[in-house]
Amino acid sequence: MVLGVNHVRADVALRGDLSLDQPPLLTALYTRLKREAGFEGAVVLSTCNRTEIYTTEALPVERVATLWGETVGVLPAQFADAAYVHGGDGAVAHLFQVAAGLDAMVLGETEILGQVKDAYAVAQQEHAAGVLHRVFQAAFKAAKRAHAETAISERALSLGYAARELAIKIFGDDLPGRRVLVVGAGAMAAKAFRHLRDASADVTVVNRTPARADALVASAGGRAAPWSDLASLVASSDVVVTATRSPTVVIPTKWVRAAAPLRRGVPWLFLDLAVPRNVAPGVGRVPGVLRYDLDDLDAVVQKNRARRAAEVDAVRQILGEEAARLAREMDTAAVGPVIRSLREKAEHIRSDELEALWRRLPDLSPAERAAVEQTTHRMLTKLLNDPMTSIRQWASVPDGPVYLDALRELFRLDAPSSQPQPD
Amino acid sequence: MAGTGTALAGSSVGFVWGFYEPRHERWAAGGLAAAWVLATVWLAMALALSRPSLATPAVVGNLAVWMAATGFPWWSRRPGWGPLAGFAVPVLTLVWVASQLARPWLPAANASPTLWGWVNLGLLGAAITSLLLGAAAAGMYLEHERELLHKMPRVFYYRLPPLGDLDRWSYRLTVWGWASLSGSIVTGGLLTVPAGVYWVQTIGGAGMVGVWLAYLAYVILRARGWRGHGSSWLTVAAFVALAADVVGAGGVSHGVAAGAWHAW
Repeated sequence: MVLGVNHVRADVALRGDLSLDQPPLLTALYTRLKREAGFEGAVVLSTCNRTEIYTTEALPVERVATLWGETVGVLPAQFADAAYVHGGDGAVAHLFQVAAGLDAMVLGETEILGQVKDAYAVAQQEHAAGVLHRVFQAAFKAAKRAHAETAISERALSLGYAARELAIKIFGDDLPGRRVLVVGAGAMAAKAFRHLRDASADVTVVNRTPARADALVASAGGRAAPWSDLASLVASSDVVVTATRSPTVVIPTKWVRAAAPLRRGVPWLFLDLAVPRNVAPGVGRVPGVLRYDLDDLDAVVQKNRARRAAEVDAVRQILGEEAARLAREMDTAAVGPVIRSLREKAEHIRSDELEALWRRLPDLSPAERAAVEQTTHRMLTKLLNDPMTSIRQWASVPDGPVYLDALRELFRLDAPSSQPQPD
Repeated sequence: MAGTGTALAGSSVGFVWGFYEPRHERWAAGGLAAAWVLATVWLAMALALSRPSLATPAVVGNLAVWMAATGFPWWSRRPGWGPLAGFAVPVLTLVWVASQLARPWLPAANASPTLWGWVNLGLLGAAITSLLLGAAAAGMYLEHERELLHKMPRVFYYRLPPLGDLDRWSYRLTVWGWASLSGSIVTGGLLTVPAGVYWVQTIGGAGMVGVWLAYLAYVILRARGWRGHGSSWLTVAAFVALAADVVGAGGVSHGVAAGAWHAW
């Protein structure tokens, strides 16, 4: 069972009030939950977009809501409308979707998987995960498959990251050795600068106010250069990112046209993130030059978003497969103890009867005893073969649990074995 | 022969379809595997029976199929290189079909190969395969660049490796192919001399000289820093010329490997 609130149904203020991301709060809630009668396990997931409590249906949802509210100081009635509850297969499906990023604010994001793993690790530290171990392991596996087998988490969904992705699309493994020029030192320039620095590019920042360029490179590496060097820096750079507030063009076509032949066919990327544009439109018509402005990058981002959305069905199919696998495993796990008990009981009876027989017939030779042992063992194996097969099949039929209960009752499998009666 | 052609054609369709629906690449790979098996059997029979004569375009065509398909499990698993098959296999299919229809280069007289003859043939097959893959990588570069220039991210934008990687691999494959081609020319020439045949005396041989010089120019230009668009076009054009010479004018046999056949 899962009880939670997320970014879809609760505003930032309520999510903040209900957040359990502070360790003392988390420990307090786990302590309260573990004291409850019938507690079998719990995992609390708390991020900036969601807080969810996963537990078993052995605990009433109202009680869980009360404990949560008491821990954070919010009355259950205050978040009843915003909260959602899923039980049984629905709860498993919800966890799988959260781990795979289908329920995330940014579709397909991978960060949430790490957060779910962290939440599970904390639950283990608190000795609270209990019977949820198998469910969470299955969720991790399902999410990994979803990310590996589909493009749900691929492609940039922000302009800054799209700029970096475009540069990598062109230069690939060569990007770390390529020269990147960032013109401007405002917020947009800083985002592009950091993304490109993360890709290990050799980045130079040029700004009309040198102090701001110095401050930017001081925060993430790279180097600053004077505005007077702009023309020569443009000519020697492989990627030029512009994001100034200049009302006029900063990079004219003639600069690019003059330097283009020197590149000998190596692509030249201009990313104009400014409004109004900093790069002359004619630059895009110079052979070998790729010029992308904000509209172009936004179109790429929209395409990326659509491609991620197109993967949702494939992800759901994978999650469905993994959920079915989990259900089978759990059913099989329920059958296992019954099979073991039945076999142990039969073996116990056989060994007891043989002991009695050896006492009645003390003159039997070792070879005769071995023959009797083998014969009784074969009889037992043959006798139990069909029932064992049927029991295993019950793991995958709807009425399986009912049959198992009947079997336990019939053979008194939960009761201790009867003592052998002396003749 | 019909089986190999069918397998290659099906594989080509599957790999091109795979640009848009990657799941079709699985059965396309199965088709290529079938073509590999059939080409292997065909080559083994040709070797055992020497019929048809080893001195035919059909041998070289099947050898190219065998080499490309043998390397497929390796190069198709490199990140981003799955779509290479969609470029290379259709061209390979056309080359194979043309090689099956081309007239034999030489009469099927001596079919018992010498070691040098096999070295010559192996270098030739390696050259064609490598140059084919190099041209396919160049074609991928041009398609990827076209989408980037038009700012229309479509299938190649998302599925192909970065331009820089395509350019680098196209260069490496072409250089390997050119080196193999040079080796094939040298071994073919060495084997020609004792037989009294000089490969430049034929149209195909002269054409092959032109192809080899085109690749030499490519290598020199690359060494001088030339990259990208023009470089890719030259790679594609040179391969087209090579294919036309091999299956059209019989340049390989008469020009490069004729000596090998005569010596055999």
